[in-house]
Amino acid sequence: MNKKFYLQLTRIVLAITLAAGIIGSIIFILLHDVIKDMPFSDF
Amino acid sequence: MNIFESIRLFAAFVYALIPYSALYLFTVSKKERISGEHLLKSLIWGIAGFVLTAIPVAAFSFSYYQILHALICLPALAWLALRKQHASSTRSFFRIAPFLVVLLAFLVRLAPYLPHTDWYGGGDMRFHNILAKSIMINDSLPLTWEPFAGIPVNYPLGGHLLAAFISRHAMLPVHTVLNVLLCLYGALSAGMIYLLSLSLFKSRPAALISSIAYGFTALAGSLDYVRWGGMPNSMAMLLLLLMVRELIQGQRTDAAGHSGYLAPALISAAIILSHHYSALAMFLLSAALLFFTPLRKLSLRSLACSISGLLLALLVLHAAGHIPGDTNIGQTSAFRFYEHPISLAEAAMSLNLPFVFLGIFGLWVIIRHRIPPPLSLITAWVTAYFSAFVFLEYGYRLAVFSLTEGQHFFTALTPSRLIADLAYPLSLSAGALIMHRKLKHYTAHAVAVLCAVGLASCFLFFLSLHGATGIPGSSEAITWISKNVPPDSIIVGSLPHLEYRSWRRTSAPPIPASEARTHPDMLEMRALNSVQKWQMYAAARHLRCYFILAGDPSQIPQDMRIMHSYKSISVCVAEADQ
Repeated sequence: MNKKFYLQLTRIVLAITLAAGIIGSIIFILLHDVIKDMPFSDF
Repeated sequence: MNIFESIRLFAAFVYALIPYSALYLFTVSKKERISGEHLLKSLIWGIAGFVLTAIPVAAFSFSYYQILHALICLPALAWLALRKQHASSTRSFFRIAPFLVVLLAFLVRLAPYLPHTDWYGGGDMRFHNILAKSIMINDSLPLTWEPFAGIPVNYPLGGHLLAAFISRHAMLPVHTVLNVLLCLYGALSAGMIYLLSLSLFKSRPAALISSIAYGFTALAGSLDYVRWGGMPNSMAMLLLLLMVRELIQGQRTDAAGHSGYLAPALISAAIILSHHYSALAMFLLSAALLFFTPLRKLSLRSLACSISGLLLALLVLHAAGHIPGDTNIGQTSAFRFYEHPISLAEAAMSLNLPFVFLGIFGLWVIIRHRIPPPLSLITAWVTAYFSAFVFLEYGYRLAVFSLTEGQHFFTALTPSRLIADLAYPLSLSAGALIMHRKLKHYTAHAVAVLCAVGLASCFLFFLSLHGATGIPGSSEAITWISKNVPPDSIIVGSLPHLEYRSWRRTSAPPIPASEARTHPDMLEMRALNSVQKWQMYAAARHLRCYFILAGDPSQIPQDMRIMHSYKSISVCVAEADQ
């Protein structure tokens, strides 16, 4: 029972974050023209 | 690097680790034969022991630590020489295979360096080289980024100290040592993943699959370290693997002493003293174990050891007088970092698609097959890093974008590092492949397919590094600057490794995100946007002012005198009229 609960919780969190990641990636693509000239760098 | 230099380097590496590795081997029962697995663990213990001991002493004097090290080496060597070794009883493919993986993984990582006579390392090595050289020049741990910037050093220096120690004893340049150590940490990680996977799956074929997956198919967090030069990340994640292994072993034996608390707490302190981001990764893992696994004892022990490690690390830093007190966190780029946006597809490609497929398939097998509780450690580990990545990369970034009305698109805490760190638990989950009921009778086939994927991945890795030889003419320009530009100068512009090689101050020093990059002194330089302003800035400080300009020399303004030009369409150095 206990084991099942943690497994279920992991599944739910992974599914939600995956969905959020996909939505976020789509928003990045939509924003491409807005953000392409922004100053990104490692240093 | 020729054969004699290689021998010197490895001899110095072994010398650096011997007292602490021997201490670990001392804990192995006298009746037990010291196996290859013990030796692998002892090397990693050696790294942790070196960091913990060397930092407080070297903070005062690096030379004193070298004397102390020589003294503690003597009893360690004597004990190792006198210890009786029992004959080995078992030899099988799966016992020898992990060591072959470690050896091959090392050679694959080293291969890209071999064609270059002058390889200073990729990306982040620009500042790792500086920090390690600073230790050697100052003969102690540097407190500031002088002569490049008057801001305090926040970066943990455990890995740099080990590199400086080896560099001094091997009589080799510190960048050579750092780059070879980076390859070595990747190879040792493949070995450590084997041991960790073995303790989770209780199956040598599964452990071998995990190890091959990490050693040859993962790019970010494994092969790709060579490209971006993440030496402290690689080293501290290696220590984290050892810490998790010790926690699991402590759980099995239910030990309260060495394995139960003390060993993981010591390793945790070494992680914090080696890399701050890996320390964050360690705490994330401890929190995830608490929330996503039924392993109460293990998760509480992990959290207790992480916190004890933090306290011990703070104690060591305090003893070393190295707690960064002057830095305002708002001056760092920790929560305002303009990293390139990463979509999920790009994240998967940076890890290598076949590797991601393997890892996710393994996760699915673990979840689907109602796995024994210890394996929930892997699912919790993946969940922690993936959730944190999604929150920082998409949640935080889009919140910033919305709150600043589209003016800014920065993120916090370098989410790309979480993708690199995901390679470790995903490699472990790849081992679950053989738990699938249709695949478990095809272990040899799975290993063969994985080797083929590994070969292809290594080939892609070599291809990605091909041509990364830098800006044409830049090396000659740096050599000229080192010989002709006086130390009391400021160079406007920068080139890869210019600061490390010439030890001259530039307008754009490579300072990592954890440092006070928006300190008023740094901002003042950033605001200088014309030759005249730079000349005034230099004159006020009694500095000579040089400029690095790229492009066609005929386009250089007439009031600037060309001092050096080579392959001048790319790089030249000019001095402004005073």
